[in-house]
Amino acid sequence: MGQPRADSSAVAPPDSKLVSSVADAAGVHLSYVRAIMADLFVFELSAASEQTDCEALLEKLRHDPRVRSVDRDTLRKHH
Amino acid sequence: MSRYMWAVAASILVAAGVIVQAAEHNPVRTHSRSASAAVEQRVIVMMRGASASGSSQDRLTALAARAGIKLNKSRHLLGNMHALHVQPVNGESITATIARLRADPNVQFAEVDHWRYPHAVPNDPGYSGQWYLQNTKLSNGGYMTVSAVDAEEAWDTSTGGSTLGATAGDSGVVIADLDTGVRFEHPDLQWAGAGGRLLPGYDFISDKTIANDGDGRDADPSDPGDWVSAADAQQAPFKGADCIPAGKDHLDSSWHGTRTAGILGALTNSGTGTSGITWSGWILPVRVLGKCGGYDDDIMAGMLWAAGVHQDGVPDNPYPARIENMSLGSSGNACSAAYAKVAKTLTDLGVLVVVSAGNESGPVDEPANCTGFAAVAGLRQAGTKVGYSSFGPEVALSAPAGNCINLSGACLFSIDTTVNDGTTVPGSNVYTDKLNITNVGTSFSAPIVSGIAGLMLAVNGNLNSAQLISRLQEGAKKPFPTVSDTGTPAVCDNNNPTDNECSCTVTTCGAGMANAKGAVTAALRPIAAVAVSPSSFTSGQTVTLDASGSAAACGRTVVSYQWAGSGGHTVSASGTNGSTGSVVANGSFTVTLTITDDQGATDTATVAVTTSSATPATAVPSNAGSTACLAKVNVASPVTVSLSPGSASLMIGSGSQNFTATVGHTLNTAVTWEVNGVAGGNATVGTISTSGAYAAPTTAPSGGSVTVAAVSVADPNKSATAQVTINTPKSGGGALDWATVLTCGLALATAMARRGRREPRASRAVSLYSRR
Repeated sequence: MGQPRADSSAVAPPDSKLVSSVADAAGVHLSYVRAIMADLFVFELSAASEQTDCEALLEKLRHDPRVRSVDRDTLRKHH
Repeated sequence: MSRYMWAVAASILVAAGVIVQAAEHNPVRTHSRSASAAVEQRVIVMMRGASASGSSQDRLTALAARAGIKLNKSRHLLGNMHALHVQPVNGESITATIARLRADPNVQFAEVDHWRYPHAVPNDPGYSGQWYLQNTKLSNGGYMTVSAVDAEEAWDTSTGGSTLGATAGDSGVVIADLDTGVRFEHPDLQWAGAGGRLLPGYDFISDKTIANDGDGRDADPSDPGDWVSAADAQQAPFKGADCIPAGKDHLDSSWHGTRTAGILGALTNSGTGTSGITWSGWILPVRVLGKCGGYDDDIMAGMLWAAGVHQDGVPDNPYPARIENMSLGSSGNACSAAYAKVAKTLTDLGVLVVVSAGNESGPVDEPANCTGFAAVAGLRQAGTKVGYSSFGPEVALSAPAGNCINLSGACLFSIDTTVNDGTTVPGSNVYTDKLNITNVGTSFSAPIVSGIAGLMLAVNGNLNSAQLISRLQEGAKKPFPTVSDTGTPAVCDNNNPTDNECSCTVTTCGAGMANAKGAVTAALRPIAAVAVSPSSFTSGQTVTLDASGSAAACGRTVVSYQWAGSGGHTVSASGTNGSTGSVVANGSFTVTLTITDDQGATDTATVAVTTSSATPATAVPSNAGSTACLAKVNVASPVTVSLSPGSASLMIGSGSQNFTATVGHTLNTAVTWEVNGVAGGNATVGTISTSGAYAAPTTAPSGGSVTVAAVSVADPNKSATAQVTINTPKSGGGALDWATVLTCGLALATAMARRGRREPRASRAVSLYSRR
């Protein structure tokens, strides 16, 4: 393997209508934060105050066929 | 006792001379990685049968004649074992000579009489305490250091650079250190391009509260400290984040990234401080952890950027890493889809990601548990799993993590490395030790393995992520010990996580104990590659297996390709050295390729052939690559110089100005001073002292101004300048020009102030307002 070269292609944000539609279907609000890769994005999720079970909301998103995966943005620590 | 062969000695000495000139830090004796072909070759042979069947000399002479080689000299070693000096057939390689001898029925074995060297022991005073880098031996009052990684023996072959023994730079190896950032000014780390190891890197922490440096992502991965005060701990995002140890209300700064960086590559053989596993190569600091840790999205962005993948809003990394060290994680979750995607992207790029298993004594943390990453568990000095280390089937191999033996007092097997002693903001740059700042955790197992991988890449840059892991495992020390200084601990059990020491198995602690010598030896093996054509065929059709894409390690060449078909299938060899195999597809069988390099090292590849397809084993590439010797990564000097004030205006004769130079990104902040390019200046352009005090000339210089320059001693190509206007007072009896008088007054005021005297307001007032 040679030295990997930088991929300089900028990553476009996801289609805002699609995001809104996905969010509405799950009953949440998704605010786009940034892209990590071409199809991997960071969102801030918010929901009505009575919906306190974040994991349940994520599960709703996971079940949307338009969504490939949903993971919590977890705080990691050094070992 | 060293032994010498004159024919090779000549080339060794020349190489060593070059190395001494190029190295920066008192290099030890070094050796070329592969000796040039010798006219005379040295071998050791063991003859079969009783020595009574003819004299030894007669038998050896007859052997040489049968093998077609000329026997120059022989020496009896033991029984039927002899050392021979022989003349090869038509300049054949030593491998071919050995093959000829082994083919003789009277020879029990024949081996190369290798050139050996004293092991490379760095001269850093702290090295004596770095038990984990040394060979297994009794240490610290009689404890056997079974898990020590034998780096000294590896350093005889690779120190991580393009040239053996080179320090700080001179390498194509880049290891990213995704952590809390680093202290660049640590004397055992320092800035790359200015005699140090640390590339510019980047800070990926987007939350400025966590970053603790006043902003979000920025170009400075310096570690400002990651302390969490008692007040911080009560506020978001730290409240409930579980980062304050039990029984405490605050957390001191860890300088964790400075610790891991020192293990990867503290400046070695520098006569100061500690040694790193790599002596050369570059460390790319990627700051992803701040106060209380860091979020996945910043970590993933840092991982991708480090490998050369674009991240929006961040300049592309000019120094893509082939190895990434991550001594971080958290427990309780399987590998997320997001991490799996990042892992796939990085492994496709050939980037090895080494991740510590965790300190929770239980299942391997995320992201260490992701497929494609090399998870590293922690060992005690005895080679058993250290109690706190997480473990499980995802572990690739294990390495020393530090253990104290004692319940109080000295921590006998701490992992000594670089650190800072500030409890909040940076203090002094120091070293961890057994008493004051101890250092244990799987965090420090991972960089040991990452550093070893760096040594491997330096000798074989074609190794991709999977091959590096496979050869790290191949070179690991095995089996794991079943006894230790504590007796016979229980066997580690994935179904029964324990915070006690336990005896490792391959399903709990990986393939073995990381071993630098074994890993580098494994890395030196060639890489067999097979391209199959056609892609599909029918029974009776000929299948072509092209192994010309195989590659030897740096400085070596593949000299033979041997094909073998199972079940009596015949493989015809053609092409250079038999690099192409042809076989008629008929039923199901396998073809095994064995390639051999000019040093006798081998690799094998297996292809499964059926009546319709031929499929190389998963690990067999169609092409092994063409960068066995990594191109050296050149790093521009980071040194900066600024000058204050940036300009001045003085009167001839009496005018003077103090300049202050500030030099950044190097520990050598000295400058030399020039006026119009003349060191120290002269009577025509004015003079400047070694402390930057400029005195104007007594007559106006050409053009009415001069340029004062401060030139960095660390990098004479870096300087800063200030323009000084030299004014001449008007004479000839007329009234003074207002502007001239104003200038005179200011110059006087400045000069007075510089001498520490009160400003002479009266005289200044007279001068200023004399026309009114």
